[in-house]
Amino acid sequence: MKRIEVVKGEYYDSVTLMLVAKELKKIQGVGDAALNMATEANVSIMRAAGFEVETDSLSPDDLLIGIDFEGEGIEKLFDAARSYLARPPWKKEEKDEEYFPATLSGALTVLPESNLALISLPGRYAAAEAMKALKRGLNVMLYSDNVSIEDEVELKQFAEKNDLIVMGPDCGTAVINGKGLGFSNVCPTGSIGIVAASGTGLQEVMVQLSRRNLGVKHAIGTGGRDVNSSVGGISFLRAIKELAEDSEISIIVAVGKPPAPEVRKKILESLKEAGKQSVICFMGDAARKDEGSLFYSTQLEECAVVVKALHEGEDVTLAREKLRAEYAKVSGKSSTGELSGRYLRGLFSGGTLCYEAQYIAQSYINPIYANAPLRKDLKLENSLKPVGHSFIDYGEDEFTQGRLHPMIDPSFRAEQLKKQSEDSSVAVILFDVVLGYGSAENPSSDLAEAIRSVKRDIKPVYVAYVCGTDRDPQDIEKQRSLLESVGVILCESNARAAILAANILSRKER
Amino acid sequence: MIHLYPFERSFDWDEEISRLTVKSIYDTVVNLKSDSGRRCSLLLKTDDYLPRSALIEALPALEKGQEIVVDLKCVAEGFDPSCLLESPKVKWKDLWLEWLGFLEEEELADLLDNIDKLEKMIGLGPGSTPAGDDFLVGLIMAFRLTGIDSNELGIDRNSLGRKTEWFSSEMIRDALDGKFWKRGIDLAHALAGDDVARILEKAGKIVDWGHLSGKAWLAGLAYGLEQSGVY
Repeated sequence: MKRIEVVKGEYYDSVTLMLVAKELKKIQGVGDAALNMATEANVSIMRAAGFEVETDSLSPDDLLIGIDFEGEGIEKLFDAARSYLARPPWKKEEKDEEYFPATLSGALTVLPESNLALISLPGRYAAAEAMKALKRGLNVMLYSDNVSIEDEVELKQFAEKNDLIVMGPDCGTAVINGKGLGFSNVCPTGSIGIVAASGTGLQEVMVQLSRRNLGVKHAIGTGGRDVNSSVGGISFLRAIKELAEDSEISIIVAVGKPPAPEVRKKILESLKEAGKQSVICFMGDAARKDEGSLFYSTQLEECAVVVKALHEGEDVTLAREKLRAEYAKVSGKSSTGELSGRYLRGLFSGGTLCYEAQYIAQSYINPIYANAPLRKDLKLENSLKPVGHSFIDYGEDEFTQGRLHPMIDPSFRAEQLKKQSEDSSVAVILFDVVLGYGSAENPSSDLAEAIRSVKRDIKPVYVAYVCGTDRDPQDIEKQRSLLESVGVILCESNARAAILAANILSRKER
Repeated sequence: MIHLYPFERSFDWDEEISRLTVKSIYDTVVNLKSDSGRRCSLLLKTDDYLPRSALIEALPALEKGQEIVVDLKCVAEGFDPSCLLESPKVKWKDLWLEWLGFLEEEELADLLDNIDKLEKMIGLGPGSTPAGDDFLVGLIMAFRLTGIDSNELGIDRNSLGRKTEWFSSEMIRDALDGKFWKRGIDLAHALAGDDVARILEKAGKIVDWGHLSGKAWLAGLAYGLEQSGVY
């Protein structure tokens, strides 16, 4: 029996809601438990999971508790949910911890020399707190999403006038002086400086550099909208200036989706003025010839390969050719066993990884629909009901308002992985697993379990990429083994995984 | 009759032999009542030190109402509940001011409603020691630290027993006499110094004290410091 209860006007953070749901699922007889703030997106997700939600008089400030329980006494489970929310059982172990300041003023009292505030709040409160921090002379990493474009521009203009930078909104990853903030992999510190308008794009470049024994000193995220016309690249340009002035940085890397033309022009001029070798990776951009100190790539792994060649004083053209030869070998491995179904489904937690995979796969199969498509006309009508070749980024706003990002809580994506696997039209499933600080403790576990539970005579072919380093806290070998144990084919980069997955299908079509 | 032999005591428990009645029993603390109605306590942990208390290696099985003898002959002095030194440094003001924010928690809303009627705080609010009493004790410590006479609060010590429960009334009486529990004194010492890690550690120990007691106490301290006019 599936039942919903509404708790009016009570806000809880998404980590608390995830942990309470996990506690409830441990109780015998509970088939499903979901706690979400009643945003439009969450209501449709809960409906898709079979819960009957009445939207009359619901507001995003209300909490929805959904429980699926076989047997008598479901009321007791709702009581348990409310009790967990009031007194979280996992907090028992937090006794005798030191006090953490709860306000910006308190924190600055404790750390008067600090120069950066990391702000992670629901979007509607985040801009005001960011402005407070800027007015106290702090740079800002704005982790929150759902901040209005007007607020973003105001914050960035204020920062620029005061020699500060706003990283974000929706900046999930940064590295300052070798220390990771937000989602970040454990990589060596070195002489590379990165500015990125994309989170997982930045992570992938850092991971690929790390696998080539190159380290990063600063990786400055700007948020995806920074390079749009409306913001004008204020933070991107500021970051380039900072990296240019840092004598320990030898190569500057610029990563993101293609900027607005006028912003691109400013970025390229700024990189030329920096007087350092620069590698530019605007994914989806037309291929360009290198010019002077500027080197171009259109894929994330290629970006790392070019940086490596420059760092070692090697021939960049040769390095690219060698990579292309490796990619050709990946394509050659696409002969698999029996294939059932016709379509490729990409189920991603990383937005830029999803974008890059689409960009690569479109060379082999078409059309590719997505909730964050390469072209507007390819946008999926309903992200919960993909059609044809489809790529879904589960980190998009529609899935993260009032609930955790899939890199933190893989359970929802795992459910969708199972559902897509049981769709007889699906032949290949491509997905990512992103490791590092901030990500789930054991992300492959939920996904592997979902694959194991699939009920279908011929399961789809699974192709995946684990974005991580051998120093990440999740133990990359363990994560890889979990996936391999259920038959997932693993690749060494996001690009290679996309090439392989698309090739498997295109060969079938041929 | 059981005789107990602590190994260390607070400075103010100076009777060599005390005959006491067991009043309440917890895992690491036993509260005892003297013939004159004062509270004494036996403790297992140094952090729990409070006026008229003594550390003991283990607590025997006791029952409420049982009479016991505590033998403090030749027992070392360990904790001075009157040991308040200097007032908190100005530079920590923004940190302690945020402790007033604890009053915004729903369970402490009654305290916020009555903050300008301190007499009404006695016995007010939830908790085994009512949160209003914890708030008052924090406030009295703030007055002590800033040189303000706590008589200005107008608390009638003779009526305390009628207005709140016994342990709490004893806590307020001790505070009016300038005697406080160790966690509070440790924090006061830390706030008078420059070691921020020590402040965070000591404040953390108070936040963790009881469900709401520590938070109400910290809010009282912050309110008292703010009202003192010193900062």
